[in-house]
Amino acid sequence: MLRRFALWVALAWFCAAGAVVTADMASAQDGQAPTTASGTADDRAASFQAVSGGTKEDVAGGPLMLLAYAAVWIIVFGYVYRINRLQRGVEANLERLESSIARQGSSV
Amino acid sequence: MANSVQASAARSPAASSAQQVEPAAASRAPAAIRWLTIASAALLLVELYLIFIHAPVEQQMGIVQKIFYFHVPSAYGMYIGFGMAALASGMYLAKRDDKWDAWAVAGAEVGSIFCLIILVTGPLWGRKAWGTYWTWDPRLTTTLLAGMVYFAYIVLRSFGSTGEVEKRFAAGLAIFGVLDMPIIHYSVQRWRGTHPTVITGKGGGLHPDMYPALFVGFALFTLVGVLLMWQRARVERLRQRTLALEIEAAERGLLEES
Repeated sequence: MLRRFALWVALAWFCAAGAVVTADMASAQDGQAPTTASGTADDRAASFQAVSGGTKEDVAGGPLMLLAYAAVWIIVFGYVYRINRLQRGVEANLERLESSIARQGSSV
Repeated sequence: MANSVQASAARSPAASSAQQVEPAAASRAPAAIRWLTIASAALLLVELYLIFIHAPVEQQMGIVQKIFYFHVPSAYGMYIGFGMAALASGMYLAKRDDKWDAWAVAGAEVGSIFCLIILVTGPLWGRKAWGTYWTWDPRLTTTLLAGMVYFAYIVLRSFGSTGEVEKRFAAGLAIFGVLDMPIIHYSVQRWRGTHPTVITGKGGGLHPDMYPALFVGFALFTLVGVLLMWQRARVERLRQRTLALEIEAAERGLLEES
């Protein structure tokens, strides 16, 4: 159940990422040059400053930010799920060992 | 209880050792792990408040700059994970103690998780800042290289029950991989690339209201990294002991009937 949910979440992320990238490529094919944030490259690379007044975005940053945050959650919780599954597997092995040993002990 | 498993595994008769193992109790997390989990959850709430309410929107990049508060601490988490993998591998090569091997596996996996976060969130930020998802900038390239080295480590370790030779080879790989860390760190200072240098000596820094989110991010990712490594190392130790018991029980013909 949890595994299926995790797979659906991961699939939804890939679909959303695919939609954003496809929309990007489509706008590039329409003849629009790739747009970047405002200011010079050196300005953007050396400091982050707070905005004053309204913002005008050439590339919508919202979907990119949402995808990034969703990816962080999916990756971290996916790993926690993997550790949990590994632990359950080890527990099952221990129980199997224990019952075989108990069976042999009772038959001797 | 994990100690009793350790003690029982150290004794040779499989029957007596396995009988002392209580799986449910053996896998129960120590109180410290539970407290660390609660602390991480609380810190996460604080971090989300600082990122989305306290920290201002950046002047030139807009809202996408908020990726920075998870992206940079992830890089720090990657250094911790890969550093632990290399340190534990060195200890394993010196002492041949499986405890260090478990920590090396945990460090490599957790470091790779953070590396994956960097390699996913970075390009999403780059699309806005550079107009492209990927560029062969020195820092991006060396980070990808580190990810590939430790991915090779994980693949090597995932080939079922790893033997002594594979463990030693993997330890060497983990030590080799960590040599890339200083290259990643100083690449933006040594070679002029496109990667931002905001929080290094050459950078112009952050707006004062952006620092709390960044510092809490560092604390949060350190805590989460330690927590994940600790839990993964515990499971790996338990797995090592189960494998040892399984081999011993198989040698005695105990597993044939199951």
